[in-house]
Amino acid sequence: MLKRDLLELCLLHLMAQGDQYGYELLRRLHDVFPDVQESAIYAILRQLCREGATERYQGEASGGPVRKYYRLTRDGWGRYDALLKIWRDMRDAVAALGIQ
Amino acid sequence: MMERDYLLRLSRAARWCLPPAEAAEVLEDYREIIADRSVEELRRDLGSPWSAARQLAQPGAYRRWLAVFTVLAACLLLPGVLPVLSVLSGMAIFRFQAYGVDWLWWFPGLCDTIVPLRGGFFVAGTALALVWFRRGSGEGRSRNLPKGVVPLLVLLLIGMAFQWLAAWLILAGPAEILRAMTYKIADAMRLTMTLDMFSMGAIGMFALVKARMTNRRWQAVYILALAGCILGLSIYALWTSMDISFSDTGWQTPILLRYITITLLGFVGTGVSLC
Repeated sequence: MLKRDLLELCLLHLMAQGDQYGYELLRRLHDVFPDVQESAIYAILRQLCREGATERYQGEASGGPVRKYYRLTRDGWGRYDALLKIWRDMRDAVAALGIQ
Repeated sequence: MMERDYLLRLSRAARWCLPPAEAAEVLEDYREIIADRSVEELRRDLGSPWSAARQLAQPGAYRRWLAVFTVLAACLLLPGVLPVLSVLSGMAIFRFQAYGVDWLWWFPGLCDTIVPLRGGFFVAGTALALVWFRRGSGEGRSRNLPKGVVPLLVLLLIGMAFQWLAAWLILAGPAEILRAMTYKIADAMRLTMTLDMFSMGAIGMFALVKARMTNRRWQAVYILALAGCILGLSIYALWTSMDISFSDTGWQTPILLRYITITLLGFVGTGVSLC
């Protein structure tokens, strides 16, 4: 699993918890991975959209600018499960070697 | 780098790297992303505008665009620029070493090589521009022409009119004019023709970039510039030709038909691009 896949998993995980405001997604992930630029995270988010794993819609605005929200599609849930399985297998394999 | 400056640079990079509709979407998102950030934060969190745009480009699609751009640029620049280099060849003969041998290269040889290929350049450049920009168009159905297209088309038409004047002099010029034409006048005419083609090549390149980055209708300028360069190269080849078979009766007709075909096809391509 590459770092890009890990970032993808994190994005999908955040969206699995509920629809997310795009800007907030970038900030939250950048806070966790400060060495990854937000533009790189945004590129992954757009790629997920392009591939049909996520979709975006415009949220209701209360006076302010219209916000764009992201949510998982059926394909996105499948991808999330697959990446989660890879991540857990990898974590178990590393743990079996005694690496904590 | 201020917020506005960053957006401006990102806008240029995104319009170069991405298809028009996608670039517009990205810019809209970035307006929100970069709001209220300091210069340091922009650099640290987002990287340079160019790298941000490159990350967003799909590698395959971007490579395809670069390949198309290279072909379109080559179709325009080879006929547009080589004659200028050919004129300069009296002063510019290059010596270089390769495979342990001293080589001399001068431009007329190169220029002569591309003359037979001019039809291929013209057809390939026109067809590829028409297909590519129409396919990737994302400007909706706006009927307004981008600012600058009409003045440049007029300039190109003036350049082509000059080439037709040169063609008329060779093909049907009155004997008195030809007799009065000294070597210096003929050479000045040749130099003007090459500068004419060079200017058309430069205008065409500008239009090619604009067609990608702003509005596909700029391809009309590219296609007319290409027609101008090809027409110019054809007339230039005749102007500088030492072929004595041109003294046969009626030799002008096929040449004239060729020039008319190039001009008409250029006009048709330009018209289609403007629709």
